[in-house]
Amino acid sequence: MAKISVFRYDPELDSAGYFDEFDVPYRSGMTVLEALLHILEHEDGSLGFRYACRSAVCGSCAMHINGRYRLACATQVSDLGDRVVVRPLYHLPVIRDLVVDMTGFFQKYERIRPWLLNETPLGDEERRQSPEERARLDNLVECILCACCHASCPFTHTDPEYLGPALLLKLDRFYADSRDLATADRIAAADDEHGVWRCHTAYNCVEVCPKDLNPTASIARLKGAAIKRRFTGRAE
Amino acid sequence: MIAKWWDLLVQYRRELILNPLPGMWSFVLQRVTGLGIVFYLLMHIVVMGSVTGGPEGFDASLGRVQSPVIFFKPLEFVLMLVLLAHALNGIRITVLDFRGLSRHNRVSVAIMAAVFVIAAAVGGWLFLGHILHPHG
Repeated sequence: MAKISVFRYDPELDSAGYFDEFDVPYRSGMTVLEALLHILEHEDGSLGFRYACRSAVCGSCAMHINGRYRLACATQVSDLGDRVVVRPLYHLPVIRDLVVDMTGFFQKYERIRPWLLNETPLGDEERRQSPEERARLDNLVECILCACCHASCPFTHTDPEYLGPALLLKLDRFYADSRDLATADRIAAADDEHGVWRCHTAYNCVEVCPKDLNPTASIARLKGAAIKRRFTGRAE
Repeated sequence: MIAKWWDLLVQYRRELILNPLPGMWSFVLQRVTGLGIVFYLLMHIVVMGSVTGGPEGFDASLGRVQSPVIFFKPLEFVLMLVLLAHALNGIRITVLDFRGLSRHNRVSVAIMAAVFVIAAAVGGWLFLGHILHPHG
């Protein structure tokens, strides 16, 4: 049996959150998501949590598990010791149990205009990149927007307007793209008190990222570009 | 104002529980030592601003914050530790940020801790040695 302690909160019934304990029959290779599904199917059908792909691609099942933000589908119960404690992502309002409201996160995502900004008309060909230009986007394109880094960053709490590590990494992804021509706009979006300068380099984002990405490196790159732009007036 | 600062400290404590990571500890260390240094600088300005009456006045003002030695020397040592931690951590973060070394956060924290321990030991000897061995 695996002991699973799950955060519960129903705004219509509870004045504050609490933890429910469940004993789940353990089997080899069981993930935390499978344990939660077992609880949902056999113990308490009212448990709320998000999931979709079960293979660490969609980012829906991000939660705080035993002292770390991670994906429930990519975390094995056997790696967690005797007791598994599951909480919702912090810094995002809890809707119910482990489900958080991602509206603010995705509103900020839209603010960075996460698409290629390029007004030049397309001919018959697609916009080509050299292998070197494409290599600059390696890792940067792999963010699944699970918000583990957003929840682990202490500054997304103290400044709700702060873009946060995931969205600054996304901003860097378009800044680094040779097909994107709005380089000055991209740097200007980062060069803001709610942009790169709100990062105080605690490195929580680098530690918790389930895709092993490096948002702090992206933020450092954008900081460098912002400083260069302020001194030279050039956006590079 | 004080309630706001208190809320922030409670917040940091919660973040530390949820993210027991070296970078998080070093961030909280940087904030707490930073606040300590601001408090010290205010006291420093008050003491220096109260100096009147030439060299004798200076000695008299300074004398008020130097004796008893057994109380103020250890405080000076604590001040040195606070400044050392804040300075080392600031240099560490700046180097990591601008040299593209953000993957090496844990190693850099370990190096910083080692330098801190060595410098603290040397500083401790210089600050406190003559209290422990007054005739040495």
